[in-house]
Amino acid sequence: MVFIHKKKLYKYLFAAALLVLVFIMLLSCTLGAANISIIDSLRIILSGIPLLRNIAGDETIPRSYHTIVWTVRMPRIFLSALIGAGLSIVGSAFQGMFRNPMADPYILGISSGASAGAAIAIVLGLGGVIGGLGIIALFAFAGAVLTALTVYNLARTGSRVPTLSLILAGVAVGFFLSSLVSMLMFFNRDKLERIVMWIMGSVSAASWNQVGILFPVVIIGSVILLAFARDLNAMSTGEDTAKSLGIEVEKVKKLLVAVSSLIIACCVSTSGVIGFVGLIVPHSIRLVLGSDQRVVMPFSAAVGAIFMVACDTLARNLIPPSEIPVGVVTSMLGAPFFIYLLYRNKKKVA
Amino acid sequence: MNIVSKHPVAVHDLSWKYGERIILRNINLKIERGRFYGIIGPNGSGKTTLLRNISKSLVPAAKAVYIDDLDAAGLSSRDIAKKLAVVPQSTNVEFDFTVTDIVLMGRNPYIRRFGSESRADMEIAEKAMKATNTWHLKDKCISEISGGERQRVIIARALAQDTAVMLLDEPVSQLDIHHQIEIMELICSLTRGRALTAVSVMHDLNLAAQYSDFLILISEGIIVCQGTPQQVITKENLKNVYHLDSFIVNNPVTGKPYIMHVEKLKKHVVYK
Repeated sequence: MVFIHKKKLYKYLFAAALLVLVFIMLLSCTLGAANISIIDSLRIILSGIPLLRNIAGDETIPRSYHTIVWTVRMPRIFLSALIGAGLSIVGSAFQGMFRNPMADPYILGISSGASAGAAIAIVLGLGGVIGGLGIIALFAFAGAVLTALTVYNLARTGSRVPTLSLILAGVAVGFFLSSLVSMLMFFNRDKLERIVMWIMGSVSAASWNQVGILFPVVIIGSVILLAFARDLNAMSTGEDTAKSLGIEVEKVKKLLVAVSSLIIACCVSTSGVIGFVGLIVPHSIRLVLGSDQRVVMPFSAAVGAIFMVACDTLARNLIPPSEIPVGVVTSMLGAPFFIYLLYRNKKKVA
Repeated sequence: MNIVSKHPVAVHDLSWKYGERIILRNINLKIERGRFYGIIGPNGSGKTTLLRNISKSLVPAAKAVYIDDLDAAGLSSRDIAKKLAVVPQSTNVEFDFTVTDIVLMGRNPYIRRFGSESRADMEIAEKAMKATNTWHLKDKCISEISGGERQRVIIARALAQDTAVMLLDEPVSQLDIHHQIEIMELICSLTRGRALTAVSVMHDLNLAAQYSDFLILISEGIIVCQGTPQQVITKENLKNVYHLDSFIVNNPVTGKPYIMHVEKLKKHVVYK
């Protein structure tokens, strides 16, 4: 698919994807354990928007319904969308940068770092809130950032950061931290459930505060990543080649690792480890629209958001009133997709 | 700066070390415009390191490599990409890019950060693909064409970069004889027709002798001999550098030297 010939088509498609996202977010607002009708949900949403308040006329709807939609469901839906977008766009950037279609956003061990941070906070019994943010999330964020910095510095040789060293350091540090988490769980059986639940990934504790932090990080981060889409295209054909095409590979790589790590650290510390989104979304986009990062990255963000919102809606509605961790839902849908990819590739080779 | 004038590439007292190991010692080179240079030498002699220093894939010391009379050490990747194009030994792309996408990547140094390829860029890419006989492949995926076709596509990308110099690192060593000749003829014709200067590391001495205007023979990091193929491909040089007993004839059609190796040095391995 030659990019410049299809630019217009991509624009329309992207607009359509955004429409689907808005639609699915609205739909998700109307679904949930509390039995609020679709019409009432929509009226509640409308009443929260200043200019439209008068048409909505929600005086007849109980206040508690209003609270459920605006402070329980909506922040959760926005958070899911942001996390899905963040994980997916970083996944596609990493796949290009590491020249590996199997790279995922956690390849630098950031998820293990966040898990270790969260596990430490849980074991220490720190469950409070500072400045509107959970202490566990802050610990997870610190763990994620520290891990990214450690991996980066382990991989660095002089002023260069060889890609292979990054992956190897990421895997090694990730394994070390995972075993640390296992050890913490082993010696703190009473906290086991909380740690496991955190690691499984969930957005059930979403708040507008979290959305407020994640929104600028994901949006600004994505814009920066998108600005380097053409560089990533060239880098996915080899770093030497990219350099000979005029790209300052080392500088670009450092910037992309920093921006990506920040996005992932923010996502994973608010939601726990949500697997497969960052791997399968860019993959499926690539299957349908080709490998040009200028297409893959924006569509990954949009479709990642759609996928996450859909998965979380399933997670909280499949067996009410209890909830399945959303990380489990994404993986349950992700693994069969992987098998399908494998099958497809096998057919291609044969 | 008389030393480097009118040479698109000049190398001045270039030395290079990997850790403690010295790879290149005091290399001096002046590349003339519109010629085809072959760099030859045994494995590990430093020929690829030399090429990578010129392309700044390895960072040379200041005042060692000059591109268009400018010190390469002070040029950005983008500046260099407008002057030198590089064709690597082989290109494996994990992702599904079309041939056109790959060739358009050659326009990268000319496109601003938030810009995208213009109609003019597309026309340049088309011209490059037609010149390399790859236009019919334009919508094919880079991973589904043959090795020879892929190498022609990479040369098209280098042409699309619109540079005065093309550096090639053993461009044909992974191809069969038919495609080797096809690629060599293509590069040769480009240097004739477009005043392009090509500098290519070559493995096959006979191919190098056949197509190069000048040969540069490197051994153990030193330029042993440089000049026309007739001057460089001699019995003595081959004996010294390759430890090869050879018999050199002239190609009856082109008059270029052709090596027939007689026998390796008489070292018998005793194996019981």
